[in-house]
Amino acid sequence: MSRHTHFQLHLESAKRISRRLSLLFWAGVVLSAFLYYWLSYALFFSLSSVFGQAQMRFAALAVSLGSALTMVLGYFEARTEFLSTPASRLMEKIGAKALLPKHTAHQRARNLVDEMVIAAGVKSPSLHYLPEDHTINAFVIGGKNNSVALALSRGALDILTRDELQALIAHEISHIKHEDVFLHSQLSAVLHGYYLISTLREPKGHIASAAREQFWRDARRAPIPLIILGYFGFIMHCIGRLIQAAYCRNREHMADAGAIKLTRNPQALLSTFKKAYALEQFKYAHWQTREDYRHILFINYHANYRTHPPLEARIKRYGGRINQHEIDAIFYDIQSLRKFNRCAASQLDATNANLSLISSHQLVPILTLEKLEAQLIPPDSLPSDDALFAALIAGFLYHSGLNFYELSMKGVLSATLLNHTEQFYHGFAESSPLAQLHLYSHYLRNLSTLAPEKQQLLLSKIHKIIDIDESMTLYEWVYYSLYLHEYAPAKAQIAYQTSKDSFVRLASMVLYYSAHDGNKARSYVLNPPTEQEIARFNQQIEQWCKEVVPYGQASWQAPAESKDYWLMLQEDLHRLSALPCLARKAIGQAFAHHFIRQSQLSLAALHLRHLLQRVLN
Amino acid sequence: MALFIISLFVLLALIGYLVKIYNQLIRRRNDLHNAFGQIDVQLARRYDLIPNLIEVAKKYMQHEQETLTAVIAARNQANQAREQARQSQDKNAMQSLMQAENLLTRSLQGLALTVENYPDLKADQQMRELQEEIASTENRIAFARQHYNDSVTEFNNTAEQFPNNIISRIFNFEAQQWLNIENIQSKRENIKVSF
Repeated sequence: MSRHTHFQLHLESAKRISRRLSLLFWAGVVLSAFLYYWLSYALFFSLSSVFGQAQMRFAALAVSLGSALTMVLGYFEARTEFLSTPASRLMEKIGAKALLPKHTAHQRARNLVDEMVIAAGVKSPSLHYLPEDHTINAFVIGGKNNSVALALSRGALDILTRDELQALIAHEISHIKHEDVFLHSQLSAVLHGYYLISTLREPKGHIASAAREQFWRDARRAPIPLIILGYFGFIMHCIGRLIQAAYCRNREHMADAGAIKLTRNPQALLSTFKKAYALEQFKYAHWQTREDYRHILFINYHANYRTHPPLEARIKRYGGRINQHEIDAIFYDIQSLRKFNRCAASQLDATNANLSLISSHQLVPILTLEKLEAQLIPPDSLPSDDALFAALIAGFLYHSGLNFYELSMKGVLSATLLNHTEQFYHGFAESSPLAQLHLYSHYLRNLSTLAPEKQQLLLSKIHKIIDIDESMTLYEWVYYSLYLHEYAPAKAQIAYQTSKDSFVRLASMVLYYSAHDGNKARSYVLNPPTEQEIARFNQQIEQWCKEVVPYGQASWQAPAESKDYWLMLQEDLHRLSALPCLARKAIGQAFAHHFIRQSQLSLAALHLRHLLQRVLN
Repeated sequence: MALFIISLFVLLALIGYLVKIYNQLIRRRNDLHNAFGQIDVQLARRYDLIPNLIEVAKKYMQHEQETLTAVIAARNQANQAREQARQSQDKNAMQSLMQAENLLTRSLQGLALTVENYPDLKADQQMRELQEEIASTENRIAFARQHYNDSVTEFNNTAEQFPNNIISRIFNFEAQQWLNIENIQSKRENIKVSF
């Protein structure tokens, strides 16, 4: 069967199930009336013998009718609350605001809603957004005269791409198309009816009239039959909630299928789910919704009474897979995007705001690292000398691309060390690329615990590996340079003016690897920072910066994977790291500012940033 | 007598059923016409947007006059064809509208590619807003077509299934045609990959 008709099947089956569920729900209402009748009959029977058979029947009937009446009254009360106000007024009550007229993201959302309204052929809802909600969410509510309103969370407007937002909106529009909004309010109304009976067990809660107040004052507690009735109502209420939850879960699946029917783009819906899943996993603080509105949300982040299918299930239903590394990366993206938006909105200096992002310890790479560290190295036991040695070799080896067969053939490492290294190597290969970098740095920081001869030996091994290997990659170079920096920090050197070539070469390479934002046409140049403290060096560096080959210019050749080239760059970096503190910092800042200006950092760029930060600061 | 009453009821029920089917067919057909009207509305929206786009693009693209005039010409032609199709509604007019639409789509794609070479133009706020509008309009046209095709499917399903097909035969509800993607060729062009 073609993938294209898949959603049709989901839609059909969902419709069938939801019909069954609504039948079950109403059957429950009728059943509960019967149950009340028999319950009260049994109660009267056991409580006293003064009533005759017919009287008891009559009393039981009265009780069951009374409870049914309470339910119906509650039902209508809730219904009028839902349906007497226009939907847009209800939205304002919840705290949603109307979309702004001249706002790029809001205009985009408006367009998307129009598109989906056309695709579904429904009436267009009034549009709102939730300024306080930074998660990905959306919901629709219905009100007076069949008016419908749609609210998008601010997070959804900020984080999602056009296609993803389209999928989200399509989901909500299919709720409108399936008339879920009115079904939901009806269900909530019925539940409210159940709820009213369950309050019977606490007399103070619901009684308003003064005469009744007087009546209850004598009896400090409600009479036992009422309490029992109340508890029974409470149980019914819970069962009703469960049925409602099942019903809603089904409706959600139906709306997912409907969204794909409208957009014919399951991938977009999947990536929306994945983003939401990342937020859910990292427990991003979410907006507190009123409990009776939770079931209408796009994603219900609150755990009790699952009115929504779990996100994993929703992702898997449409062929998606959850990969923890991918989720980590998505969360990282969301975080950086959010920071970027925030400073764009407040017209702050983007550079400064992003600085805090880069050094922020809440970032995923570091989180992942901590998780990994907890797994790999128990905090109370420092790695032994041999283990450290093997770990550092393994880290380097991983990026050099050599295999263990080659290593053993050339006899670089002894058999035991090889074994040891292999273990670390596998652990290393399994962790995510970002965590690898931090893991390696973590081991490097302990380098000083090794004896100097050992450090020397390690370096010679690394050199040997470089010798065997015919090519050298950026990652290999970064690891090598990190090691060298830790092993033998460059001695201070005064004559920074002579380091021009080193700087230009290094900076050109950095630009090549990090100035990506998918736009080849634009050329990036390195700009020096403008701090007064380092003003003395600025002029010099400014001169240098002018000679850096702009990214995308043909006159500069892309770095070949030749060893000599990388070794030369290592020399350059070494020379730069030997500069006087201020000059070094000025250069370091030029790079730091460059990285901050990028809209996104690739893996290569992150490696470079890490290295430059360590070496130049 | 009893037999008469029973058969009267059966007859009434049958008539009621037939009326229900007939009304359903009418409703579906009206939905269909409405869906078709929606396409027209969105096409008009697209023609209205193009002059604005050209106006903004002119500021930056002095050397691309040909591309711009080609878009304008295609736009005017398509608009004319639409007017004609609306008045006469015969097959030839529809055919020429489709052709003009294809031409316009192609020239717009050419413009979009050219814009890629003008970073300043791409960064222009007004241009970005316009591009969003145009992208949205293209989507609207596509979704309107999709909705039309969905409505056609629904209508055909209703009209051709038994026993509805008897009614649709009697009252001349013809099965409708889907709108086809005319330029499958353009969809198969190589996708530009950039890193």
